[in-house]
Amino acid sequence: MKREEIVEKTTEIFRTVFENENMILSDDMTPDMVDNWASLTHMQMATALQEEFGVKFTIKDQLKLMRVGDIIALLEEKLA
Amino acid sequence: MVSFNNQVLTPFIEATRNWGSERNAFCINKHYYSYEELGKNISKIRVAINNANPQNNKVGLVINDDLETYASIFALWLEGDCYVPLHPNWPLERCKDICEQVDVDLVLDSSTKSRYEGLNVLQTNKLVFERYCLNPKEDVSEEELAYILFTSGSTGKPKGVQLSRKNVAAFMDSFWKTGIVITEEDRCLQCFDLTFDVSVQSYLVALTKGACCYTIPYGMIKYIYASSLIEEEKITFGAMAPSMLRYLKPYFDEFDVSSLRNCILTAEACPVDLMEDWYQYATNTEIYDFYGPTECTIYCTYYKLTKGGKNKQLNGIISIGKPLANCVGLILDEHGNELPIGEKGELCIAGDQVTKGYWNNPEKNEISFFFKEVDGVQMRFYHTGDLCYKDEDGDIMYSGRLDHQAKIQGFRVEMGEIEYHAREFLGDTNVVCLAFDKKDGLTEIAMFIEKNQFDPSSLLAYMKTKMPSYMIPSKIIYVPVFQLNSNDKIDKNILRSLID
Repeated sequence: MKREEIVEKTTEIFRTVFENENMILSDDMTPDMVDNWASLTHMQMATALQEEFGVKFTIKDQLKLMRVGDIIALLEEKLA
Repeated sequence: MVSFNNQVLTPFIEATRNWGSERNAFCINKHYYSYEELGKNISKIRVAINNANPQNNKVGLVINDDLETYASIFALWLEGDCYVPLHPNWPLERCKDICEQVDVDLVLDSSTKSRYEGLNVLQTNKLVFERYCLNPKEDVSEEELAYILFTSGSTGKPKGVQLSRKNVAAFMDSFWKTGIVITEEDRCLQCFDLTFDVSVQSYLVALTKGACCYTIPYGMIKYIYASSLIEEEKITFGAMAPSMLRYLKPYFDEFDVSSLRNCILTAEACPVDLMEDWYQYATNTEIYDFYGPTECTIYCTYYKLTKGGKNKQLNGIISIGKPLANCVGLILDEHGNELPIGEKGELCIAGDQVTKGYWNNPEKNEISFFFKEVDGVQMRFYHTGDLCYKDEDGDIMYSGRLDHQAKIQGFRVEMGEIEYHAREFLGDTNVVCLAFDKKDGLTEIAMFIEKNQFDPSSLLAYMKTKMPSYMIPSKIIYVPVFQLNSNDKIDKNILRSLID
C-alpha cells in the first residue's frame, strides 16, 4: 500500500476517533498536541487501525504509536 | 506516637542522607535523579520559599512531571506549609478558581513560562543550590494541612478536601500495618496525577524507604508506558487503576511482569474476572484491592486477594475488605444505626485519617460529616456515599453509589458539575448526565440534552475550558422532550435505555 493511501485512511480514523472532522495529520503530532488523545481514545485508534489495515500491534508496537510519523512508518513496515 | 515527622519527614530525610548519590529517588522521563539531587532541589526551593515569605501557607503548586515539582512538595512540608496542586493541562480558569478559593499568594511553578500572571510565582526551575536545608521546621502542629485536593463539585465549582499532617501520618502508619514491605531495593511505579491522592501513596511509600519512584510523563499513554516500565525497569511495586489493567489485558502475555512483587488495584471497583486473568501472568505478585475516598486520606479499607483461591466478590466486584488500622468502618442505615451482617447500607468511616472537612464549605461539611458514639467514644464519621454490606468475617462488599457520582478513569466526577457547565452554555435547556459501563468494563459519561439535534462543537469547546478532559461526555444524546416519572422527576431509567 502506498504511503499516501496509508496517510489518507489513518487521517479518517483520527478524525473519527478524536471527533475532529477537519484534522490534518502531521508527522510530529503527539498525544499532547491532540485534544482527547488519552488511554481510551488511543486504544480505540489502535483497534481501528488494526481493523482497517488488517495488522496486529503488539504492546511494544504501541509504544511507537505515540507520534503520527511513527504510526505511518510502522504501518508501512507491517504492510510491506 | 504516630506523627508526620516520624512517619514522613524523618524517614525521608534519613533516606536522603543514607543514600545520597548512591541510589536514585526518581526516574522521570527516562532520566534518573539521585537522593542527593532531590535533597539539593528541596533545599534550594525551601530557601526561595522562605525568601518569598508567603502570608498564606497554602501554596499553589503547578504539578509538572519533573524533579522540581516533587522537590517542592517536600520543601513545603519541611517548612510546615501545604501544597495545592494546579494541573498544567486543566483549564486556567479552573486553576485560578482554586487559587482564589484558597487565597493562594504564592505559586511554585517549574514551567518554562508560567500561566499564573498576576500572582507571585516562584520559578523553581531557575533556582541555584547553595546549601542544604533539610531539617524540618520545629513545632509545626499536626493539624496543619499537608495538601488540599480539589475534586469535582456538584455546584459547578471544584471543592477542596483538606488533608492534615495528622491524616497523612495516620495513613502511612495504617499502610505499613497491612504488611506490605518496601526497601531501598524496590522500584515503585507512580502513575497517578498529583491532583489525585493515590499519587501521595505512590511517591511516599518509595521515598520514605529509599526506593526509586518511576513516573509516567504527560503526553504518554499511561497503560503503554507503564507496561514498558514494568518490563524494562523491573518495577517491583505499583498502585494502578483497574481500567489501566483492562487496557493492558489484550497484551498480558507480551510483557514480562515477573519482577512485580506487590500490586495495588485502587481508584475504581475491582472486577474479579480481570484479576483472575491478571493472576495468570503476574505469577510472582501479591495483589491487593485498596479502597478509599479522598476524604479518608487515600485508602481506608483493603482486601488481599488469594491466588488460585476463591476471592470474595459481589456482582463480579472484589470485596473492599476490612478497615485499615487507623480507620473505623461501619455500615449504617439512613438514621445512623449500624446494620446487621449482610444488610446493605452506607459505608461510613471514622478515625485519624478522616479530613477536617471541605475548604471553606460549611454547608457541605454539615451534610458530609457526623458524630456517632461507638463503644462509649464519640467518633466523627464521613458519609462515603457508597452502598455496602459486611459479611460474617467483617469483610466489606461494595454494591455501588448512593448518589450521583461516578469514577471516570479513576477520577471522582459529579454529574451535577458537568450538567451545570452544559446548562450554563445552553441557557434554558434541560441537561442530564449519566455514567454508564461499557461492555469492556470502562465507565464513560453520556449527556442527554432536551433539544433537537444540533452541532455540539461549540458546546464541547466551552465545556473543555471549564473542566478536565476526563469530565467531557463521550456520548451526546438529543431528546426533544424528557419524560417524567411518577414523582414528576426526569425519568433517568428511560434516558439510560437510550444509551446503546
